[in-house]
Amino acid sequence: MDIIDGFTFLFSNPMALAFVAIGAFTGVVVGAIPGLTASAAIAMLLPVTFYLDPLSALAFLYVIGKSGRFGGSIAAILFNTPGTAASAATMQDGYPMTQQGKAGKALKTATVASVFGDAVGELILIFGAAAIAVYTASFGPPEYFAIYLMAFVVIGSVVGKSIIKGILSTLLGAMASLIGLDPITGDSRLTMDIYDLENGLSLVPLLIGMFVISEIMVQSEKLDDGELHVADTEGKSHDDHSFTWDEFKRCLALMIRSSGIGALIGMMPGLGSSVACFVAYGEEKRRSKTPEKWGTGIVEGIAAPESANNAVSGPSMIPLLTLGVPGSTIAAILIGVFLIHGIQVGPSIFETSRELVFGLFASGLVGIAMYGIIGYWGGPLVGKIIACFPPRLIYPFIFLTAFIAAYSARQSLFDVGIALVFGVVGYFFRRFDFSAAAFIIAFVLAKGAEEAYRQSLLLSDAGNAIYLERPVALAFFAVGLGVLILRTVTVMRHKKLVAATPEIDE
Amino acid sequence: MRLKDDYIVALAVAAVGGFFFYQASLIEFADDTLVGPRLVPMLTAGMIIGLAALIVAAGHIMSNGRKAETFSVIGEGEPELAPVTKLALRRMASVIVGGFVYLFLFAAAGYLISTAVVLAALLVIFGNRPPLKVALLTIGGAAVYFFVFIKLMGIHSPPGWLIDLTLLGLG
Repeated sequence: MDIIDGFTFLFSNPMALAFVAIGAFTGVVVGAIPGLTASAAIAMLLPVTFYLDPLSALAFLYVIGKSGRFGGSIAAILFNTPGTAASAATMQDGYPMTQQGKAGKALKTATVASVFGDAVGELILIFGAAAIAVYTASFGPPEYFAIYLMAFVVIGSVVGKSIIKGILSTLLGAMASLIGLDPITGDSRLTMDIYDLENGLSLVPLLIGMFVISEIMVQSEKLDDGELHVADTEGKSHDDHSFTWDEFKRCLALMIRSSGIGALIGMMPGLGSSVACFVAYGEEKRRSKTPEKWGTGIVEGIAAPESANNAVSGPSMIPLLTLGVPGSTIAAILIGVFLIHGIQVGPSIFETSRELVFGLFASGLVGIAMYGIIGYWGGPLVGKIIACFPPRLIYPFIFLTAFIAAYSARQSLFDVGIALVFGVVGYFFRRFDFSAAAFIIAFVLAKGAEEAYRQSLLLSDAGNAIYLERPVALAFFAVGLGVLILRTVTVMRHKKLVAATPEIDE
Repeated sequence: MRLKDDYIVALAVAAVGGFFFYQASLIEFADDTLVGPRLVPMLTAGMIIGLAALIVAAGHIMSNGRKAETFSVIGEGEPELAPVTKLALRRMASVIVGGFVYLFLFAAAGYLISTAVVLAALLVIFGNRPPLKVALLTIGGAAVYFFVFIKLMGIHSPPGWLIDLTLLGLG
């Protein structure tokens, strides 16, 4: 089986294994720091991977993404502050459990649920991606353009609270990617006669600006003199700091369902863990025989969102590997890593780099096991260590790290300036509820979309009518339009309901 | 978010779109290309301007008989960030100014000095107070960052045009 070859490839590369372990630890710690996300950590560590072999580079960042999703639950449970948006639902039962002296139980529940969900998602990726790639390998430029356009519309429509702002975020990201040399003719575009812009904007400073520097600005805005207080995790009895076998059996069906929800959401571009955790929490609460207990500190209230948010990870790679369309911000960053190492993503990757792909899958499974071990026995310790370093001490050092990471990508101070500028842009995106994730995904995809469109026209004597001759392309256009219409109808209904509610009360 | 905020967003977005539309119109290319390098940038900028116009038009249509501060065309629910205070604004501006100062000092004096200066400033901006603690963190932090990134990872730190520490082996 290919996955066994993947394990062989991984275990024959000690450096890759070492980086899987480092990635597992780094992700847990970064995820546990309130305000800092796995995407921010990956953005800052991306330049480090330039010096590594492809498997080590990809495995390192991929595992950080996985363990970072879990790490957010530590802050949610111990500090009542979500370490990442994906752990916001975990807070609802996690912190009440901590207040009851059951922080140890809460952390172990989160660890087991995260490992379970992540493993389910990873298995879906391993067996699903290769099967889908066989079908998508026959796609040409018209189909790819249709896929890219569908991705833009879907991501813009569903990400964030506002459709118009989501689509604007997407268009602005696409606009940023067009700066530089035209990919077909080599003509200079939108460079404003600035020499440093001839090669376009680099992904690394953009990521660092939008995710790290903007976050530092937000944290400086929220800053108070408060410290992070970590609750006592010892508990009064053995039961208070353990996740029992009976509790596991009780949560098993719930974790399977929640993992399914997370996997489905993960396959759709733009939705992500923060949507999955709340959908799973809401669904399991609705199904529960005792919904009034949810939110008071029960293990089910942690198991559901944690299974779902981690189950997103593997399936979010499916559109990336089969279509070249990233299903999440982390997947969008990984496209950059693939390209830096000269690997073209899309269905042909299973032909050209099969060993690498399955090595990456194996890394994912090993990484899951590693962060599970770290989280199960080391979760409380990680929380206590982080509490020793309040945000006002951490963020200056994060700023320094961001600066050197932006500089090191191309040894360019211009890139650092770009990171600072986009830090301000990212802050205004947050302030006015635009989507940085949609911006980045569109930035990564836009060049490919333009190339595919122009190649389609070159292939055809009929101009844009070529799309009418391609049923698969039409199907993807229809999906994008359908999602946009559905989302618009949902939003309009919600607005009507909100507007009508005060009249009902009167 | 209320209608006034929508119009501010629309204006800013239209300005960005207009700027890029103009820049796209300046793109030079050979006339014999079927679909040239100008099409997609102009199309994208045009869509941005179009959406900005849509926001304004929708706001005008929906505002009949309603107070502008009671609804939003493009806002949904509560905004993520609370209204900003003057103190917070000063702090944020200090972070960005600190970043550009870092850029200047890096070119002028190299990585070590620029890192130490900016680290000290950021520690103070973020509310770390006892001067001795700030000084110790600054010296230790700058030294560690210099060693890890410049010496261990080999990132190039060019000689400063004002102060050149490479002569002392600190570059």
